[in-house]
Amino acid sequence: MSEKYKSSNIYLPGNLPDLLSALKAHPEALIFNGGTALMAAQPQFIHLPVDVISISGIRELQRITRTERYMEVGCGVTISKILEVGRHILPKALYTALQLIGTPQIRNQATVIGNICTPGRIYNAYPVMLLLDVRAEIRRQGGSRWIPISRLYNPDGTLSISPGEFLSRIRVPYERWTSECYQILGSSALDGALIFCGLTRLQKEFINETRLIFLFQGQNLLRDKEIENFLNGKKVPLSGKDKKICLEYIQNSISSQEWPIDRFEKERVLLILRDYLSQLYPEE
Amino acid sequence: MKIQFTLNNKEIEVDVPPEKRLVNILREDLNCLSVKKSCLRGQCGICSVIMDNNLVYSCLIPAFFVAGSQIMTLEGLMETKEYSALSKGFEDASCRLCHSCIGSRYLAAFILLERSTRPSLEEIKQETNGIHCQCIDKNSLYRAIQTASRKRERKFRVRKV
Repeated sequence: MSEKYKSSNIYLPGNLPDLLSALKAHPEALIFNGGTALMAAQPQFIHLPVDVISISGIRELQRITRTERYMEVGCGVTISKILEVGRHILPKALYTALQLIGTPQIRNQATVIGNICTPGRIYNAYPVMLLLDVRAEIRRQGGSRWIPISRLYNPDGTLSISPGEFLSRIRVPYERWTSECYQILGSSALDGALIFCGLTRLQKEFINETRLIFLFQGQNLLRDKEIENFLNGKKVPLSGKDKKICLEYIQNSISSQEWPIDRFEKERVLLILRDYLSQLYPEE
Repeated sequence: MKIQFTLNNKEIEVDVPPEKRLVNILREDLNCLSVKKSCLRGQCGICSVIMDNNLVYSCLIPAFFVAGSQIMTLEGLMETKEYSALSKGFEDASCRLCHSCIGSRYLAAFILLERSTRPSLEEIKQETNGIHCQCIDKNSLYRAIQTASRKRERKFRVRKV
C-alpha cells in the first residue's frame, strides 16, 4: 500500500538549549521520543502534527543518574536501557512493569516518559509510578518545576504540561517494600487488560504502609485510600474478617465509579486482591 | 528531507519525506529486500533491523529518526564473519526459515549472540518473542540459536589459539 505524506516541519536539535529554543519558537510542537505508540496507531497513513521536535540526538536527555536516595531517568532513555541499568536497584514492581511492555524491539525504541505521557491512554508504567511517588521535571526555557506523577494529568484527562514545556526527566525514589506485586490479567495488548499493583511495607508482623491500585483497560484507575488506611497497623497474616472487610471496601469503591465495570471484571478484582492480601506474611 | 545514516557500514544519504517509514526507505530507496513489510503496527516483527546495536521494528521508525544512526540488515550481516557460524548453526539444527522472517530472525539471533556467547533458553525466548511467523515451531528456532552459539564460540576459540 502507498503512504500519503503531508510533510511536517521536523526539528532536530542537537542539545538541550537548542531544544528549549525550538520549543519556545514552536510551543505546540510534538516532542518525538521513541514514537512507538504514535507510529503503531497509524498503519495506513502517517499524520504528524505541523511541527515535530525529535529529541533522539540530545545526549543530556539520554542520561540515567543515580544517588543514594533516587534514580533520575532522562526522557530520551529507552525502556531497555532502564532495565539494563536498573536491574538490581529499581523497585521490583516497576521493573516488572517495564519488562512486560511490548517486545524487545519495542523496548529498544520506546521511552518510559512516552509510556506515561500519552494522553487518552494509560500504559503499564503509570500506575506503578503513582504508587511509588515518582516525580517528573517539567522544563521550559528559563526554568523548570518538579511535580508528582499524580499531577501529570488534569481531571479531564489532558496533560498538565503547557505549550512550550516538556517532561525532561523522572525521579524514582528508592524505597524498600516488603511485598511488591505487579500483575496483568487479560490481553497483553492492554485492551481489556486489568493491571494490579500492590506495595506493602511491614514492620515485624504489622503493616506499616500499603498502597494498592487497579488499572482497567488502559483507561480508568482505581485506588481506594480507605482500604489502605484500614490495613495500616494490621497484623499479618491477615484474618479472614480483615480480608472480608477489604473486599467489601473494594466492592463499594467499584460500585461508586462512574464508568461501567462488568461482573467478570469485578470478580477478577476481588480475586487479585484476595490473593495479594493472603500472601502477606511477617518478615523472617 | 535529506537524511544521512550508515547502512551496512556504508554512509548513505537519501532525500525522502521525513515521515516515511524506515522499512519503506530500505525496500524502495535502497533495495534492501530482505527487510519485509507486513503489519506496519510493530506486531509481526518481520521488518526488524538492527539500529545502533539494538533490534527495532523498522515499520515504526520515521525517516527523521534515523539521522546519524547505524542500520544493519541481513544484507549487511551476510558480509560479517559471524554470519557463517550463524547460518551453519541453523542448517545443522535443520531449521529452515521462510523468506518472510529469515532476515529478522537472523538479525535477532546475531544481536543476541553479540551480547551473550551462551544465551540461556530464557534469553533466547525473550529476544525472539517479538517476531511472529508460523513457518517453524519455536523449539526448533531455540535449538538453532543454541547450535549457532556453540559454533560461534568454537570458531572464536580456534581463532584465539
